[in-house]
Amino acid sequence: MARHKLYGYAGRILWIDLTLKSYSITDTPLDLVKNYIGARGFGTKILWDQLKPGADALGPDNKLIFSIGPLAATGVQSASRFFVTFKSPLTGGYFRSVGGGQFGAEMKFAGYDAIVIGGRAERPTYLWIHDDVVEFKDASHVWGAVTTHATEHLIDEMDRNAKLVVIGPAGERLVRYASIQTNDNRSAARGGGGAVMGSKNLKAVVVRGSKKPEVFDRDELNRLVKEQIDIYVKNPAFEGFRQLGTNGIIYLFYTLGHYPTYNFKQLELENVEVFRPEDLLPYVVKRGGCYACAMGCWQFFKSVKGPFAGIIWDKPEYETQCTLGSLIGLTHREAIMYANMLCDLYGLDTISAGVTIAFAYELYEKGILTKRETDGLDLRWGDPEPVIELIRKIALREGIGDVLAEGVKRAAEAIGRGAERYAMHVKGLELPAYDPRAAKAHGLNFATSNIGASHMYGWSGPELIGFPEKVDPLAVEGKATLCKRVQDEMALYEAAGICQFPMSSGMVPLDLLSRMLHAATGVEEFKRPEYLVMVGERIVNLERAFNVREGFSRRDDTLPERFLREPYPRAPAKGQVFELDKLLDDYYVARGWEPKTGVPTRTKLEEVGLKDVADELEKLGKYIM
Amino acid sequence: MRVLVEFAWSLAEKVGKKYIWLDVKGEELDLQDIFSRILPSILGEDLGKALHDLLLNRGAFVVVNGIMAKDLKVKVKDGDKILLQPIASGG
Repeated sequence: MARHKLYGYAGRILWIDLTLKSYSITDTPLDLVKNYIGARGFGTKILWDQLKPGADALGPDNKLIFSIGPLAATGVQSASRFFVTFKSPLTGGYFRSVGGGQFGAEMKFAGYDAIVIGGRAERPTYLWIHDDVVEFKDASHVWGAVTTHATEHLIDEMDRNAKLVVIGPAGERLVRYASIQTNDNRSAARGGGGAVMGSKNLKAVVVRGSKKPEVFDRDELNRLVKEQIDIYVKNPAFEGFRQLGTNGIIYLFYTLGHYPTYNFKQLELENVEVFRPEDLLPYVVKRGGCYACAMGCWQFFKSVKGPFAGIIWDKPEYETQCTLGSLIGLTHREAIMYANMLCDLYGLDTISAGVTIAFAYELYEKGILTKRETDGLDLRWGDPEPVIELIRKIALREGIGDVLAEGVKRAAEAIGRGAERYAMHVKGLELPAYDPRAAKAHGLNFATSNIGASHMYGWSGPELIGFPEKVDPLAVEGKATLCKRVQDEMALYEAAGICQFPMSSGMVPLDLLSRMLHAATGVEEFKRPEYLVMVGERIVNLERAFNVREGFSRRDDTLPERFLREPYPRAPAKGQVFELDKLLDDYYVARGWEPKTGVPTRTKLEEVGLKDVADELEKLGKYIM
Repeated sequence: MRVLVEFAWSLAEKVGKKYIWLDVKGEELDLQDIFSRILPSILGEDLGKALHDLLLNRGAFVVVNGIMAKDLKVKVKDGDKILLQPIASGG
């Protein structure tokens, strides 16, 4: 059969078996392209097809799928993110984690739309992928090393211009929220992809390529990129992102009631003014950005005073300032910077690490954990020293760190004595820095997201920043529809490989995305924005079907008890709780899913082109007859 | 009545202060009055107009007591806290 010419795409998928030390390269199928676009879409479809239900997330059968979109490395702005899809050791379900930097573009240059890794290497290994050649290299000399040191050695050994993803000691020790780090300080942090790499004895994937993607209509695409950049610079959020990235919203979101404190107890945070943007700006000593992104939202902070002086590091993002800061009652900015750096070095997700530490602090406050059980650490709210020590203990699984390395869900089960009440997670994934009681569609997204509590799965712009329209964040009516809409849109943009930051601020309008996708690929279907939105919905449905196949149901679409029973204590959401049952009922109706079980109906699956998936769910007895 | 207006980030730099208390005698006011009339009389016409234009062009968030203002018709009362910040986003 003649190979169909794929423009924009690399046109190939690399399949690696670590057990057999073998690999093969196949063409990227045209139906995969049309039905799933790329990046998150590719990862979801490949995981559904390749992973047997019930596989151990930390076993050799699990797959680790790196994928990129058709716009990566084409000149389109903010479009070269890489996606990592796997069964999560935290949630036991479908997961996709996202990273920035240069790695995604380098995958395209090497000639791959996706790299699918299975099996388990016999001994510590790293992959050296240079264009069409894949080498299985011994990683014994960097096993045990922190991410930066391992990076330096591997890049030096192979090619100073290579790009890589790497794990630290936390991933090697199977900490369930270990991150995957890049050589340019970015992370695909959430869900435990680093632990999956560690379980495969895979320290790093080093990539170097020399190919340039061929696009369908270069002149048109160049014109559209110019249009895109023009939209960027005129957008009111553009300058804010360039100046301070996500740190521009900390004080604002505290004021709006979104920014959590004290393990989501939401007490007033004394000294919160230190997070005002004008007070954070003086820390910036250097800026940067991902491959082909005019926005450039990276800032490097320098600490010059106190016990944590002497570092220049990628700044703690909004989420991290909260989880390693206000969630622990901590406003010591230099300490947060230091804790953030430690997480990157050990290879830990700063959100899950921070929430887990805040959980331990609250257990200590309540007397559920005593000093004897914390290895002598005195976990007093606002004290940074135990935070630093706990990060190290978690990463190395020492003492109490071994329990906390399992994440709050499993740690609470192990500790018992009512600890579950203080474990802030959904489906095992620790909550990010928003309060479901203060933004109902956003909270509903946490409850229903197929990866657990992720703000990136369906960022509710209308509630959080009043864009593209302003809605009352505390209202319940209409929120199910809003939640579905932002989840589907996010899935679509992530299938195209686009970053959430410009997308959620309106810098990549759907019509422009559609035209760029067509100019890059020549795929006729991509000219229709409504088709693209349907693909987004298809992806969310397939992810849901994956979880249903693994045994998930409505009972997993929930939130921690604190949000359902404890009224929010301060303005502007004072007195609010999260109305879970009503919002869930509305959501399943909006989705066309079975209200009692949360399972997508056959009608819905067939509507989004997933008849075969409906057949499989039926065969597995997942439908109530 | 007494109203606190906070300026964040580049607006604090432009205005030269992080906040300002407004003492206004017994009127019923909305945000439009604050930004088109009262602030320009304190900060100067040029700066006042620049701020007002920024709001009209949706270049800044206006938050009243922790709630994002839908428009400039929102009523202001004694003790209110108004935060003005350039647009930002993320997560």
